[in-house]
Amino acid sequence: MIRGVKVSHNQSVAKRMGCDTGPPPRLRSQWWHYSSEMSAYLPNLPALLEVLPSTPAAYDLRALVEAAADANDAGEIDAALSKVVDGWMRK
Amino acid sequence: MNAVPIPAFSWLEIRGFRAFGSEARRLDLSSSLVIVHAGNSQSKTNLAEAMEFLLTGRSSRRDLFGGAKAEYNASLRNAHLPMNAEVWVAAGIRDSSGVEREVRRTLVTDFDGASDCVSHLTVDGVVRDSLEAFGINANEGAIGAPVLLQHTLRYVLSTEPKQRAAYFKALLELTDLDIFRQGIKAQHARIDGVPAGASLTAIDGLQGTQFADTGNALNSLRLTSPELMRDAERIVVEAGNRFLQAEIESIAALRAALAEARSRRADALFPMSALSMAPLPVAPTLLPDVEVYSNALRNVDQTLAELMPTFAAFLAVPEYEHLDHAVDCPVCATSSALTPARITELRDRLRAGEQLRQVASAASDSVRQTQGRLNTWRDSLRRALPTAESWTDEQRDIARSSFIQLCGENAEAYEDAAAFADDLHQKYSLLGSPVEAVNQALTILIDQIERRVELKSELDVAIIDLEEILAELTRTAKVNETLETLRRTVEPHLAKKQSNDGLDKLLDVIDQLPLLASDLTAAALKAATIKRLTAVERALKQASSSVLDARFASMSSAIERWWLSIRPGELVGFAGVKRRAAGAIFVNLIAALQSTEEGAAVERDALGVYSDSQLNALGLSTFLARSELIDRSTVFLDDPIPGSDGDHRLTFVQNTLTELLDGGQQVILTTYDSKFADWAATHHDARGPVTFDLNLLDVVLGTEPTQTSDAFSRYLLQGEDNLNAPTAAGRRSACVAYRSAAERLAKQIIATNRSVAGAPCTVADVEREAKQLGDLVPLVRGFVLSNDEAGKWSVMPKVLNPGNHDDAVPSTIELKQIRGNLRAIAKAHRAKWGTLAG
Repeated sequence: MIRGVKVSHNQSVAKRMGCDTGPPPRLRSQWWHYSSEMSAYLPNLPALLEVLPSTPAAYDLRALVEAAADANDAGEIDAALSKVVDGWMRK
Repeated sequence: MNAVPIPAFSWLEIRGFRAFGSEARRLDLSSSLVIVHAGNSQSKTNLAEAMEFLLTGRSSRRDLFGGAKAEYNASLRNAHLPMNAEVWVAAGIRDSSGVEREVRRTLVTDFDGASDCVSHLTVDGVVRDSLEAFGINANEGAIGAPVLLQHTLRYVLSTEPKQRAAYFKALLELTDLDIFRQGIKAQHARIDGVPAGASLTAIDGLQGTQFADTGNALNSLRLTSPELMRDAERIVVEAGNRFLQAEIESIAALRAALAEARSRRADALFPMSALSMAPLPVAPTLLPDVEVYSNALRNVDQTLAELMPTFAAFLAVPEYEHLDHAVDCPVCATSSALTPARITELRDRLRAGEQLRQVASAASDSVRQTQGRLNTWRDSLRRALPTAESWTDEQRDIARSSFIQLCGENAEAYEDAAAFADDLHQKYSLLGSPVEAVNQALTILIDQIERRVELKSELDVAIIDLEEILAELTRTAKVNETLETLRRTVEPHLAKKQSNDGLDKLLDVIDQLPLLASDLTAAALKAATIKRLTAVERALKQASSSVLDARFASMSSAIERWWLSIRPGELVGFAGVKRRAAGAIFVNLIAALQSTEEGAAVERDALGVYSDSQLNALGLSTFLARSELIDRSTVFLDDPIPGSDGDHRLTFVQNTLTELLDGGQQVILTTYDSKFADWAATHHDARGPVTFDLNLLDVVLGTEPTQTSDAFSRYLLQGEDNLNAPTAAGRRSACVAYRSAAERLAKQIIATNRSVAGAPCTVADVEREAKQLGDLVPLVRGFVLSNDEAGKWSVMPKVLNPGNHDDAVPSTIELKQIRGNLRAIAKAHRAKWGTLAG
């Protein structure tokens, strides 16, 4: 779960990602900071979320980002993404 | 980019690294500002490189300088150190939780040709691979350390824009997004690779056959059609009927007819089935269950038992069953021998023998069943064997020709297989006699049971004979591979011939057709998923580009801010960093040129228009921006303001240094410039700076740091600035500084010694008693450590009191001598009393 990331343009997504209280002011202006709770393996995912538009593709991308956020290696990324994509294959 | 900023350094210890020699040297770094002053070639840069080595295990000098790698051979170890002496750098670094950890890196192997140095890293004595936990990214190499060396600064500026991106790697590198993108790409490939369902694959197989139109018709069916499966079956049945020229209605019947047609067509090409062999059936149990019968027989009268069937038949006649008068015996014809009383007796005896009859009946059934199994097995065995042995010569010739025509090679494989079929048949025929013997033995048993006589037969012997011949047949069938060789030779050719007509493909479609609906559902989901993944990949690419743009904007902003702190109010400014190309990242440093303060700026590449000092300021600004953006809590600046740029010492001290310290960063600053060091220490005196002087007096013992964070040391530093002045006025200034240093040292020695003697005394107390050096010397002579020191104190007021005449100003050599005297006296008293507090 990513914390400390501003996802203001889509409150429901923000809530889903545990960011409903918003990031501290410093993090609002400096996107390169991220919570130490997040995997250091993919440190730029929060910055990525900051610039995503509100499109269906971006929503899908958010789902993948959220799934992979805590991954610590390529294998874990693969497992996390597979879980989401396999869900797409079922419905 | 790192999650954990580097905690502040609290101390640093160096042994044997470059100019640091056999003596371990320790520097107290427990201040937010550490200023290290040293003349040229006194190891300032060695100190910075020691920090770099500690944090990364590498050398930016070797990584970034030109020249051959071999030119850096054995450059880390002090050349005068014995080979078995340890070389290490250690530091106390506070981790993110504020706990001080001892980080130590020991040199194992120095640079050697193309080989990197090897080092051993520990944190609190525990071996570690890297200092990732302290925010040092091992992938960045030497520049991962927050150390600004002149050669790293120059490298950033002089390298090409593409290579320059490497310096900004920690900021610009989106490797993790690339990894993430690769992960999504792999998902795309994975979903792409999900095979179509068996029914769809079978339908695709119709392409290129005479049933291609059937395939197209099936492919045109839509999952949403309510009659999907009925339509699919209709299409297939129509195709099958066209092929067979029949009017079959059900798909099951069609499948059987097509399979039969395929078999016929295959045998027409080559009668492979006649040269194939099924697994041989297992021989049945040939011993009938007659044990119960034999036991029962032993328990009854033998004669009676033998007569039982006769009695039973006799009493089954209605006339005798209800006899009421004596009649002649129908068996032996004795007159009136058969009376009602005799009939009753016979009935009683038969009742008693009923149990034996039932057992005998079961035994007979078991024997007959054994005969049935034997005959069934023999027939199965015959069917399992190749039938080619029964071919006529004409049939054999046809088969041989078919083989050659089909396979295009000599008939050896066929001949071997046919010969083997004959051999098998011959061995099979040998089974006839023992099978017949077993059959006869079983028939004999049946007869004996019918007659209620003891069982005697040759069944055991016959079975043994049968098993011996069967074993030979089985062994032959197992070890000979000629039939398998023939099959492997023929089948590919048969498949090729048959695939041309598409009959196999149509049969495949029929077999898989029940899966069509679920396969179409899966295919639709697959297509939708691929579409989503494609859109996601596009969105990720755009978002990554936006992230990069945002980073360049932030970098520009940060570099410009640091630039303005060093060079405020200049017409030549910094316009930002710009990137080129969408793929590879090129970092261009842009200058903003104004003709007036209000005028519009013209942009040019900074490298082309900046002066040397401006380039230095740009490199410094870039380093500081990078350190800020990646949250470095310590920066080590080696000679940040060059001698040629003396005008910007003050702006650096007042603006840049203040901003760094206010931002919470620990600054370790080295400089050859005593005025710069003095200004930095004085301006930030409230922050309690720690200052050091580095001196390389003994190349074996190595560079020696001396802490100078006291008034005495600062006066010495001030004197350094004009020590070599060619003018009398300049040297007078140094002379005044050394006199102040001497006065301060004398007061400290007097106050300390009086306090130790039991009369608490401060420097201020001494000052009230005597202020001038001439007045202090008589007092300090009472605490000298040697006669030599007493002499030095006595001479000092005479040398350091030049008066107003220029010719009375001491020479540089004289001033150096006085400086040496002061250092020696201070060192001797420090050794005795400890550090002289300022």
